[in-house]
Amino acid sequence: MIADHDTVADMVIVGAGPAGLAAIDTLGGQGLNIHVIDEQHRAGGQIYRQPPATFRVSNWMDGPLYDEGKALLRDVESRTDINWHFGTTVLGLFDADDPVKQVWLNGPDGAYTLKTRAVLIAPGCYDLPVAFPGWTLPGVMSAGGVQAFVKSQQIVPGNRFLFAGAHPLQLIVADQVLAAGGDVAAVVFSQSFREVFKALKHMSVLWRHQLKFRETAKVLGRLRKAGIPVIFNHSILNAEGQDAVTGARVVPIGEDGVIDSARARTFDCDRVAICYGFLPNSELVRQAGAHAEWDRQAGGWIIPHDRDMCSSVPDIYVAGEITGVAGAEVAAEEGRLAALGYLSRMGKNTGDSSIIQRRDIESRLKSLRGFADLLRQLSHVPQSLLDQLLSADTLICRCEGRTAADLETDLAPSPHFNTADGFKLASRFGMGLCQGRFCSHRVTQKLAQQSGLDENKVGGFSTRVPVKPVLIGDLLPK
Amino acid sequence: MALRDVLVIGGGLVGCASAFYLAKAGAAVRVVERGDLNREASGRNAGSLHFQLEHRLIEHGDAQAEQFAQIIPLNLMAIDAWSGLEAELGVDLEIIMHGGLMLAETPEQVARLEKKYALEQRWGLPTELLDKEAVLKRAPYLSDTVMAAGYSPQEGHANPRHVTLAYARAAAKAGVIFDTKTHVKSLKRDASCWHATIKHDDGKEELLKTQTVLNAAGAWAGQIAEMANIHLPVYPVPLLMNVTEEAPPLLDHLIQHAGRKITMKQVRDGQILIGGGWSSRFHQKNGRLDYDRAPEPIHENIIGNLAVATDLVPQLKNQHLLRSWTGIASVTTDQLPILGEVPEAPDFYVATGGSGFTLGPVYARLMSELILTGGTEAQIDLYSPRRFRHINMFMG
Repeated sequence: MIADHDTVADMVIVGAGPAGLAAIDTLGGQGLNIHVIDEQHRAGGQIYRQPPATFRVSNWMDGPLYDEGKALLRDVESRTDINWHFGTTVLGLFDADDPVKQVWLNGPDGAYTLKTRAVLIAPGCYDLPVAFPGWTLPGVMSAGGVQAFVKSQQIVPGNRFLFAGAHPLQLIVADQVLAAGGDVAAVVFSQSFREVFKALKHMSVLWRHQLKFRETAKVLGRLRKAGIPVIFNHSILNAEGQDAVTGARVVPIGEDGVIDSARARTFDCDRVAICYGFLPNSELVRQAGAHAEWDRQAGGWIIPHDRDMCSSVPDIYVAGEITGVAGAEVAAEEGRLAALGYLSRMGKNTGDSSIIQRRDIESRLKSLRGFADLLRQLSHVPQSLLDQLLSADTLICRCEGRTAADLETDLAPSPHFNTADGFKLASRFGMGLCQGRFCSHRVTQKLAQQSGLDENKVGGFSTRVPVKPVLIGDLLPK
Repeated sequence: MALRDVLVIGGGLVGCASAFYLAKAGAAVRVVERGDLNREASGRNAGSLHFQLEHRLIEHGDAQAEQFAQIIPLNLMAIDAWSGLEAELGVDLEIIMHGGLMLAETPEQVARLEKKYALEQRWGLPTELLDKEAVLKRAPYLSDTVMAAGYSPQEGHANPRHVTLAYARAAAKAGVIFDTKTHVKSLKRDASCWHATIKHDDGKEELLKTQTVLNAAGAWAGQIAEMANIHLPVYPVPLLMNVTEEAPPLLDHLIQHAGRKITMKQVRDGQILIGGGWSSRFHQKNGRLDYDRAPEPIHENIIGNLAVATDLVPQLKNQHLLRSWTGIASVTTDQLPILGEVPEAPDFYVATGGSGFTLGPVYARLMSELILTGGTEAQIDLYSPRRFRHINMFMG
């Protein structure tokens, strides 16, 4: 037998965002062989996205909301007992069911594999893709994408932004754009002010999370002061422009939820930032064979887990947005919980203090999830609204050039398939470079709606290695 | 009154195509598929239309090679079938038959190609033997390690995502009833007919009476045969395939090799499919292989497959690997297809094994002819399940 203690890691952590950072913090000092993988060049994830080390940014992520996270980031980043793999993409997991698993990676010097006994998958989320006429024009971005530019480089990627969506993050990003010297045409919310008010009636939650609401109120104040219209009960109708965005049309939504395109008005802008919500980055953990469950409110395919944050695959832990999109604080608590769960299963750190720690985390999580639920209610977008935004020639699968009309016609002639995978095979939806990230959410729901089956029966597109495309030359032995 | 009624088990290429030909000839046909149509090997294979004798069939001595060469008449029928299939079904199946090259890079492989060529000539398969200069002239994208190639002008590829579904649509038009998400629970025979219990995924069960059963369950044909108290030596095998992003026009031919595991082709939309019999791995369940779960890809084999591909077509290094996927094909103990009525189970027919995609339309035509007329014009005794009587002689 070969002793493989030196070559097999104890834990590979995928994602150095809030969940990963908290897990590293908790796992520290135990003499474990830990590897951390992140596509970015520095730790922090999307929320604490840092400028490159060579940049000096004096007012990076100001504000009390970020203070705790920044402190944790500073602590963890300086640790020397962690093997960091930055600028590195996880391509897949092999032998996921076995005691020793293989993680397939592509780093700055090409592809390689790591052997490990456990994996914590905490890759966060991405913006919900929303298709409408003009959404593939250069200049249409996700609010998250805009924010990434501003945070990492203090660069405003455009001149005049129209924000449209349902998630309050767009207020924050609009404020950050203004602060960084950009211009904002308007911030458009699809929900009515009354809906927001109704959701806010849960005063206890409001009280416990008053810091967040106070910050949001301040942001709203700054936007008003700058004369930026914040419009409720409206939706984007289309982005205009020949080769790039030159404007966007916005329409009111009637009492019945139907948009009134006759009453559209046009805003001049060169960027449209879309912010309708977020989808968990669940491709990798699903590729590893973990069970996933459909929860539209929580972002689509989310990963069920036990009390130790372990997925249905032994020793594959999950934390953060892939258990249901709920924000950075929940992610961090779940990262801690996963680390504690892992330690107790390893027979380490099983004393009273760990029990107390877990109890504290679980109680904080209860409160935080209450807030996340409220936020989901607040930012709910009915699928019927998103469906109204489509015209026949609107691309849904942008990689393969398949339109809304194609979706209808491909579904119509065949009563024979009722799984997303069967449909993908027959129609090309989801077969391109993005591997379905743009269209799978819609296709799954459409199939469910059409077949009368539950989304869990219809399933998502199966995820396969490599979970992101990779240059063949990078894969071959040098 | 229908000519005959047939229960087809399996909604893959062979099942759907057989249903089409049977219904067109007047039979009453019902297809039962436990999942969606075209979900297993029929839709997941790489779509090669290959007619040259594969190296795995000729590398084990002359006697065996002679035996395997007897498959050639089926290949000739397949060339005919594929050439007319789009017209027959009235749809675009992305069939491209621009020719295929089987490459040799060592003197030993060249000798194998020569032997193969002689066999093909004897059996009337139109192929050519190209020397290095001729190969590179025809296919300048190939590496100059290539020393020779067998060439079949009709080889090529079709889109496996479309073929089965096109047959299914034509079959439905001809009156075939499809039950998807439905599996067969039991098969019993009495003096007059077969009794099949089928169960739909919603829990509903049905008892069907049918004169004839056609087992077209591919890799699962052995499991279905067990319901009829029969052993069939057909084994599921887990394979691996790779596909690149859409690339500019690069490969004109179906590429195979006389000594290395590779098939390559560029489909109409530009992606390059790379496969050739590299393994994936079955999961285990309770100490047995789990044929009901997608096999797991093997890292070394993805790299191995791509290494052969880039050795032969160096420009492939500049393409992105989009996806590796796995699928379950089937292999019989003697590598020949199993086609025909099972002697121990009257009116129970089987069509599985062999090159199921390339030969699928031919299997289907033969089965329809055999079931409806009791015989076939082409000689197919070689493939009859009769050759496994020794396995079933103790099955009471």
